[in-house]
Amino acid sequence: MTVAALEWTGPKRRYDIVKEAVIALAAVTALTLLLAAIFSSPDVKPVTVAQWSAADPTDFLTTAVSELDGTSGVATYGPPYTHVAGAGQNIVGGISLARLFGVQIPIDPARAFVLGPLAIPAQTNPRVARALAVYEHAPASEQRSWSQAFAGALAKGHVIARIRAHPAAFGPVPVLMGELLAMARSGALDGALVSTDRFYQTNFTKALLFLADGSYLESLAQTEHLLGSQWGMMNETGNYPGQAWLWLYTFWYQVPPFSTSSNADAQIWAIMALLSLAFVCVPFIPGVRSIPRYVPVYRLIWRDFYRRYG
Amino acid sequence: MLAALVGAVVNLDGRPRYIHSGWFLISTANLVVIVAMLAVFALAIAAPFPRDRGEA
Amino acid sequence: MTASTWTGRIRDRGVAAFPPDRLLPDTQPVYVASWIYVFGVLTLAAFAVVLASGAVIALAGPAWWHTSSVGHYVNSVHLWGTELFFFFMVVHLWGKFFMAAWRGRRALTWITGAVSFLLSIATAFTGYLTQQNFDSQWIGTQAKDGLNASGVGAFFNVLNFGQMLMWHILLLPLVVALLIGGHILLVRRRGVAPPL
Repeated sequence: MTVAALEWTGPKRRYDIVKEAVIALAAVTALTLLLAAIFSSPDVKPVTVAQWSAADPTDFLTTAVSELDGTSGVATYGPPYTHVAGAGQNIVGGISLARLFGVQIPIDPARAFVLGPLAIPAQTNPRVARALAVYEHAPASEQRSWSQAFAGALAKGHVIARIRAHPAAFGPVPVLMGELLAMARSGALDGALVSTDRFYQTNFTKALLFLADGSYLESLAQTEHLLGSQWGMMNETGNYPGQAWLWLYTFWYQVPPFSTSSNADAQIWAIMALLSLAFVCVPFIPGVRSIPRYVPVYRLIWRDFYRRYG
Repeated sequence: MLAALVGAVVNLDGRPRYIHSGWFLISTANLVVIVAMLAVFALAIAAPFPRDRGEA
Repeated sequence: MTASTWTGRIRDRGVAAFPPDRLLPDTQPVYVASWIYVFGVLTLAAFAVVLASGAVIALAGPAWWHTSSVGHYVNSVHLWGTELFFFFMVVHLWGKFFMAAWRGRRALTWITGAVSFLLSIATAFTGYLTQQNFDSQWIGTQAKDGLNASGVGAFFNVLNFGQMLMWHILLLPLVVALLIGGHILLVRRRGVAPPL
């Protein structure tokens, strides 16, 4: 194509670019104001740890004790949060970008979600202070045995009766968990999870990771059709339209092998990265760039032109 | 006050409505948006564009 | 005659690339006669509405709209502006695809448009993350897995509200606005693709 071909030398029509822009802006502004007035926008209140611990104390305690004994989602996540050998999704074979970049947002789950927050009431409550000291000075194997006993009792039910029957098997964990639950219900844990020694706070990583380790948040999302397996990335709470433009990304999660793969995120992100690159490069991809020639939508668009000049 | 009033004209906060068939699942709202997009695209191509009197 | 100063050279090149009647044309080739051609400017108009409503929210801060009915309405404008922005952009994209509008040294116009679309998705996504409601909690805790698996999550932490707010209201809109600006200048420079 020569430079000359860039310049259209054929017949022209009258056109007013400024008028077009002004009319478009006025029309779109009016339409948006109208849609906003008619349909409003969703704003479902955020979940608090206080709400979670009141609505489902067993789930809260199960999550808390899993943070303590290192079996929680975050504790076993691997990079970028925790050092776990071999953890982190693979794109293909043993190739993992998560492992390549390593632990950039380090989280110590037991410290971040349980022991750290409990240090606050321990300052005024000697019973908590004692329990905390006993736990912290015990060998790791004993810590694990106590927390596993507690997790087992939670799973089987009648926790209090089981603890009374064999108090020694649980060590200080019942006191710690009881205090953490009280803290959570009072709302104090919500504050403790986001507080820093720098006063100001804009980072909710710890609080959100803790919420996500429980199943309460997920159960709320499920009723709103927001799970990944429910095409959730496209969806919005209530009956509002969501991010419909994520349809292709969402689609992959629904079909095999991705719907059952433990590396689905890494694989789908790799696929979407390739497809996005292809989308950007459409003008250079043989075959794809010729589709418009074979799908005669253009004949309709320029029908007037072809009739008069073609 | 006014905003709260008009905001409630059509309440989309209710129980979510979904169309579900096998592995396919879509919210009614998203379906409406996608169908509207296709319809507007078809209309934009099919609708006659006003002739310009000043054509040279 | 070539200008000897940097300023002069930039001015001369600018004027040569964009003479006034090309920058603000009052004629178009006769084939530019279909409603499909208005979806570019409609996208641009919706982008302006999104920027303006976002700016109003910014005046009072990210938590304002949860406690004020006026704020909630402005948030609704921001949401529906975004829905329209994507709506118009997708129709524009389909139209340009079926016209093979990248022909005639116009590939860069397609590329800037395509990248704008992808970055707009990222911008909308960070908007969902900074709503400070249930959506933000759920979308953040879900999306982290994909981003972490792709390595991006190590540096782009969707659970860090402050970081996401900066990306949403400064970094991404700035890049999208610059890309859209470049996209429009390319359309003015190269003109509208002729019929196949």
